[in-house]
Amino acid sequence: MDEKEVYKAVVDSSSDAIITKNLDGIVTSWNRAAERIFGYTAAEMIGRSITTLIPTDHLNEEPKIIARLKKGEMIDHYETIRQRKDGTLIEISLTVSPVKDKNGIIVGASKIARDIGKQKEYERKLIDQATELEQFAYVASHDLQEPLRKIALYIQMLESRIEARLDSESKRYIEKVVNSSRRMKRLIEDLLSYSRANKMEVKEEVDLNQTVKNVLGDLEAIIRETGAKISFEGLPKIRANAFQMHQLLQNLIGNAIKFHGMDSPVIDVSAYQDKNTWVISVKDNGIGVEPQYHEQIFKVFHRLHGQDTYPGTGIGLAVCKKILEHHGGKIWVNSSRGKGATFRFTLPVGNISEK
Amino acid sequence: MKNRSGVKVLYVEDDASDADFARIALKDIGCENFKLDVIPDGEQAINFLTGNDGATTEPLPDMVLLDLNVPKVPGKDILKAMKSSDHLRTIPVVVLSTSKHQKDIDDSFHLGAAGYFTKPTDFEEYKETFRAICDYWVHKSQLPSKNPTIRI
Repeated sequence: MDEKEVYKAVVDSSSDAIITKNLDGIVTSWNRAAERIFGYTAAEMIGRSITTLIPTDHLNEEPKIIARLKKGEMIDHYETIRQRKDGTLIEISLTVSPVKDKNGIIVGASKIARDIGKQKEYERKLIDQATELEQFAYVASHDLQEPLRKIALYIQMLESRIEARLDSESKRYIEKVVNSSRRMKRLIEDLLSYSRANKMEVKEEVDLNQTVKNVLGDLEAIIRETGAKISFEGLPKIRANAFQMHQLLQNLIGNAIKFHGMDSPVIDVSAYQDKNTWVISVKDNGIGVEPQYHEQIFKVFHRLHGQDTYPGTGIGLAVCKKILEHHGGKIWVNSSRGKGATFRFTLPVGNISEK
Repeated sequence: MKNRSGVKVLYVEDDASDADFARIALKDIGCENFKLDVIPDGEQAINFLTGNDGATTEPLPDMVLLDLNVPKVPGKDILKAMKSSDHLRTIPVVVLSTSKHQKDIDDSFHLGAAGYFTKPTDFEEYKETFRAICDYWVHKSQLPSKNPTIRI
């Protein structure tokens, strides 16, 4: 086989349509995949205008494509709609490159068209499923809250009325109901914030120093109780959702306090800039996380300790992860058992002027 | 100045449990003299307030407690209707809702609500809420705007 035959074999066996056209948009070659994808034979298409394939509401694309080709530009994976011979529409991804003659003058274009109908359908299905799941979580959480609120209120009212007549065992039962309903309330609220995490707008200027100050205010009781020492310095201003930044730092600092060892918690929040990314660390001297759990702890409902030792719903870090994904960042932990933990997360450097 | 006793309160609430909590909370904090009428849907509430229900002999309430999520006519529309009516405008409306959304809170105040409370999950908080509502009422009733001679 000479070189030309090899090329022809490659073109013919491709599963993508490979088409060439001149600068007037007239088709000059048409491979087998093009026949299969668009339904026209090579004999039908060669010599005809490429606009044969373009639905009327997409006709304005062709002059733009030609204009870019004339400037020597390539069109890479442009997703659009084309029309088959039988009139049906297909979703394709187009890559168009200018073809030059031996003098370097652009004389036409080669066009690779991939049928992305199945891929698009799959993407749409995935998005539908994710949306449905989120809506379900949201509605379920809302509808679960109301009956729970009533259980909690009635049992408290019952207790206050008959408290004097209750033996210690009965009091314990009531306490269990009250505690269980409180715990379920927290679970529902956390689940709700998890399902909302990627729905919030990211557009405000947020000073993370101020966020940490607010968080420390909210955590005042537990800080006093545990004697925690928390330092922070030089945190950036970023473009973010203020509520979620508060939630993120409250979860991380709250965890750093909660999972303390024999010593009082000592926590440091710091930041450094690495090119276009801020890396923010929350370092503690607590019980640490064994390396085999470093990934798992960011999953919903994943907990490493019993309710009795360290209470919680197992949603906090999952919410952190989702908030950061929503902000275009990442989160991870460096830690080993008994040696404290450093949670680090990244956020893109916004176009905010430093003071 | 209005006495704490004999204050007529209309509570627009479709949830019987919440009406229950309100009554018990009022009783527990010693605000039994609040006469609480509960109306379970928005349409009935409007009819009652505008005297279109045939019970025109019934005097208007001194205050309205309003759940936002009630059947037929939503709470915000009731609020709007009251604030655009000459003889209902001066009745203070306090919203009592499960919603913590800032939009619901802002909307309510923009429409003229005098207060906004989220329905508590804790009974002690419930009592506190109603104590605040009672105190608010006494406070509000001393304002000069309640005096017919100083109408604006």
